[in-house]
Amino acid sequence: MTQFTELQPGRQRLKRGYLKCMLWFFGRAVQAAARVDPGVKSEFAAMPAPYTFCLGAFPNGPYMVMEKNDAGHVRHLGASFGQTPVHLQLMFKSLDCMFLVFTFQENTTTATARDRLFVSGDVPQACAVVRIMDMIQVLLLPKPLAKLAVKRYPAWSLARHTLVRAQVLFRAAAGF
Amino acid sequence: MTALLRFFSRTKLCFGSHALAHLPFELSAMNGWKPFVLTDPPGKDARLHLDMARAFRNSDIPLGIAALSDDRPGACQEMEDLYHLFVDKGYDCIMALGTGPLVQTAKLLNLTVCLGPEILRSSAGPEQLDTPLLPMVFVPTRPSEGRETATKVTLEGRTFASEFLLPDLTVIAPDIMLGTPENQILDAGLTCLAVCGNAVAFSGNPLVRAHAATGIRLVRDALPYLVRHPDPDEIFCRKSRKNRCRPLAFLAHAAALSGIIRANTGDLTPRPSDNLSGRKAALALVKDLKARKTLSPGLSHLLLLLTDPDRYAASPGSRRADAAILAVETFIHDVSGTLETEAPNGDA
Repeated sequence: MTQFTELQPGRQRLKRGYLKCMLWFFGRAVQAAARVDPGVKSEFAAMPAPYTFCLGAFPNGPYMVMEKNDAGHVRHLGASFGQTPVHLQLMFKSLDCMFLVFTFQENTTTATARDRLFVSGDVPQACAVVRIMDMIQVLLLPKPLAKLAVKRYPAWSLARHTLVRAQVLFRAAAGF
Repeated sequence: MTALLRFFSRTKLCFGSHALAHLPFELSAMNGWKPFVLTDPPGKDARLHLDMARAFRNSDIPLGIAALSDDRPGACQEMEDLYHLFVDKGYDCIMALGTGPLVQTAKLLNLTVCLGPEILRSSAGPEQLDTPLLPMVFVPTRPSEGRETATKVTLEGRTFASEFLLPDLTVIAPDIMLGTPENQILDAGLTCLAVCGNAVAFSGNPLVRAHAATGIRLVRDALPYLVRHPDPDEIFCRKSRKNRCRPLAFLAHAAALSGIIRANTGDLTPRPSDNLSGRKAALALVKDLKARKTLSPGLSHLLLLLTDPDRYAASPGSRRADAAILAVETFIHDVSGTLETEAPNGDA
């Protein structure tokens, strides 16, 4: 006889909570770095305005939504799209895939090579977002962790490694 | 001028660490939102369906899991039971978690759901089918012989053939393959070697030959390691477990490729090794290569695939075919410890 059971897979509340916190702080750090870090600033300058992109996990999030408005200011819009049209979606195929990246078990490049990300939108802008992610990770994390998170640790100036990093951390914590 | 050729493969291969985590996305991309999972007794005993359920957490996709038992009734009756379960509960795609007969059952279920249960009862059903079927995912739980990714299925003597019987997606997750018995690993590897070796030596289709070359490289890299490290206790050590995962994934990948090759070798006349498996198939390959070495355009390529470029370059062009056959024999001997190359139709 065939045994039949129906399973309703559960939710991973801890993983989801951790990722929500990470994305919340990450979004604020992107907003801060867009004002003080020259690399992030130039990446955003090359994007069209207005432009909205989101980073998240398929199918139920969590998400991080960023916007560059007409004036060129970059804002973190939080965790939901709302009524905002999103020009670029950069999504991990599952919450587990996102967890691997945000716990630094895999860097973004490896995750892309292992087919864990998909993009809905322009590929050049998606590449720019990945570069921004890498720069933010270098700015936020101590060097040993950042080395795990990016493919190659960048050789930045001392001022960028110290002053800009301090500014980004302070602004991200303060939220402006 | 290149002759007209045809290569068909609707199977997407997805493999590696955390490959199962891709399933919700891949299924939804095929418009599958309620999968019906078929598993076999070994898979059920190893609780692999729970690994599957774990991969679907956070996705809100419910899973129906049917564990086939050993004391199975007649194929038609079983298929009717599965058909009613599938239709009554509104499933929309099929996942086969296992190998061999289980995948045949999954293919038959797909046919039954799409063409109706009367196909089970009619004595002369359609044999070549052109109707698209439901999305089907194949998740092997051990390296197999590759017949799962082929285009044919048999029900009580009747053979149905359709390109749509190929799984749409094959997910190779090495974590769930640990614990595969050594003899099954050896059989799977040698069968893949036979299928791929046959294609490299005799197929005129460059795409088939390219797939076959990849399959041979995967078998060459994986099988000797798996045969030389048979200790099942090793899987409890984290590092050994990781070391064993990689070749197992290679072998499962080669098996899936050999199925795709089988589905595309229409330009080959049937070979003695086609219906054999394991060591018999490998020995049949050697016999076939010896018998037809003057007719084989790609035989010397086998030498390059099974040995190294230096040895290939050091062999004179006129001797490469013999060296290739010797390399195949040596490989079979190394992994299975046999030198006998007598008729494969016997009890070798």
